[in-house]
Amino acid sequence: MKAALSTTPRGVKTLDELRSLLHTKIRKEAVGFSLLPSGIPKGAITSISGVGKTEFVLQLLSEQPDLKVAWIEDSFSIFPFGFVQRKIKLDRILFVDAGKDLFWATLEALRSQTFTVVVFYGETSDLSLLRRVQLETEKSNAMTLWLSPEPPALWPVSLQLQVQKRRNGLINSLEVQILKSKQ
Amino acid sequence: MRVACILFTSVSNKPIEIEKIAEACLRFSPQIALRTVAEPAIFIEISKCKTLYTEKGLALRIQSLLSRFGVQGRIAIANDLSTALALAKYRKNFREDLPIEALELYSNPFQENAMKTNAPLKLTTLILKRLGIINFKKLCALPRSSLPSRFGKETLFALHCIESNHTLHWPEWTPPEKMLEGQDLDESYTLDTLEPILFLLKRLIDKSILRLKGRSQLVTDLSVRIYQEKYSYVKEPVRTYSLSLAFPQGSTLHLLSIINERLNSALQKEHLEAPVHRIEIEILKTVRGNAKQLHFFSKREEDQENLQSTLSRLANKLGFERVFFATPLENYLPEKSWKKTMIAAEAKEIEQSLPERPLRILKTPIQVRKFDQYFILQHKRWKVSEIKGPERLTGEWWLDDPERDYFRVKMESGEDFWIYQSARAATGTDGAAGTPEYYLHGMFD
Repeated sequence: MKAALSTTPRGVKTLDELRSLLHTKIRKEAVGFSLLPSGIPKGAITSISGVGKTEFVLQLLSEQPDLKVAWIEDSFSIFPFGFVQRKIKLDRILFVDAGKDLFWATLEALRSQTFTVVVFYGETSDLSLLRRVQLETEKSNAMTLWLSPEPPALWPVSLQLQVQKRRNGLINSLEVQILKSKQ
Repeated sequence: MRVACILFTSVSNKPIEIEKIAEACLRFSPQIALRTVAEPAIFIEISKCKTLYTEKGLALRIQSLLSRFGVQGRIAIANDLSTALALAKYRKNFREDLPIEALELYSNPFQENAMKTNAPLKLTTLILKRLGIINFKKLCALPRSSLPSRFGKETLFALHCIESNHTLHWPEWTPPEKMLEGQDLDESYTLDTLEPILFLLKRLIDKSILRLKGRSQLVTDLSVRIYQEKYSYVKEPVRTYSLSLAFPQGSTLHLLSIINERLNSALQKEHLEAPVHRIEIEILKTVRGNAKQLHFFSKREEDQENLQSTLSRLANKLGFERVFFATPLENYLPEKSWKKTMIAAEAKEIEQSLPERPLRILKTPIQVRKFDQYFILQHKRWKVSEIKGPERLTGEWWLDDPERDYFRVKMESGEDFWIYQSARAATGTDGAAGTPEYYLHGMFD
């Protein structure tokens, strides 16, 4: 075995080196974000919960003005005027009031490969649905942001964030806590 | 003059099928004539199209078109209609090599009154062959003065047509008004699931799109009909599914995905009850779609088409009012300060002197009760930590509640609500102080 390993092109000499080579994590490409030093990963699902989660996403969109967004909710409650006040251009966001077809609409948006960011707001514990969303997200290399009232402990989610609003004197700021990270 | 001739070798004598292919050929030239008898053919006048495509390119594109229609044909291009037809029929490259039998194509290429005009020429052809004149090269070598007396006026006329590239009158042809594609199925071929139906539909959609491209049109409304066997228990033998597209479509794949979604949801609700014997697709409404040259380096047009296809699929499933872009409007009332649009409008600048608005707003404000430092809603209560306001917003005077005093209320638990007090309820109808009513309208999430 050692003799065979010593002749491999990469110069791997021991079994441990080969193991570490095979187990190297492939880091997903991430989009830079001021509130999160590691960035938001592309081709993965990021869940965001807590008070201020929508503000968090808007902060990301304002820092990345070229991204095309599909915003899908099961019960639409977005106030677009608030987006404009936070300097987000509405012509790059498609809003979908999906109702019970939340995941179907999310999959369609991902499959179209037109949107760099897909935001969906709803609750589910159906792993098969989430797995399909994960696969389509990887295929399209989009950023899928899942806004949920409570943090979901489900394995297809790569990055789990909890957002809180903090007040420092007169300034409101967002505090982000990483609950889980597969990166 | 240059004329391209498509001579069909596999299509049975069905004028309607040839008309469909001729319609698709309109993209090459607006001047088209049809020969519908005996060996059907399509003639395309291409003399003014040199700057648009080469003749070789045209031949390849026509060949591709024929394969998409599922037919076979021979293509020839010549300086006149009759020569093009003869070259295609006899598979020759040069006019001089055409056999003597091709003379009838010069005197009567559209076979009008064939019995009357062809008989004398056929006799002449026989005589010429017996004399050893078997092709045009030898015929053209004969002295002209002796032709009428020896072989009749028809031969002289045909020779005149050959040598002078005689311009014939092109019979008028207009594409059919109704655009309907259908396919009958064999009795033994049972269709009871969506996949094979979509497989057959794809071909029909492709043909429809090719015809639309010939007319420079895009489809906005269509219907798909599935004909089931008329068994006694079948309530609805003909199922019709109408689709109204959010955006005009001109791509087979995008249209197929929209139809797939529609049929999938429809057939899940109501399965097919009997084997299918026919499928049809009819284009009901079209709009002008100018043929555009795609940008060579960017994929902007393709991305736009992709987006429109996605919007169409979403809108067809969810409803047109649930898939939208938002455009801000100038109105103080929050629910009227934006509107839904199907097309992304250019972003407008808005007045930034307004206080910060919430990111979420309820469709219908919910009444909440205020008790001391608490707000109570459906057995849930929040303790207030900070209140900012009021900000008075006024709408149209004829509304029930035109004036509202909005407060930004921060709770100790972290929530940040946008609550308003109806100014009319606060003052009462007769000017005396009324009972204040509070409504939760939005959340700063």
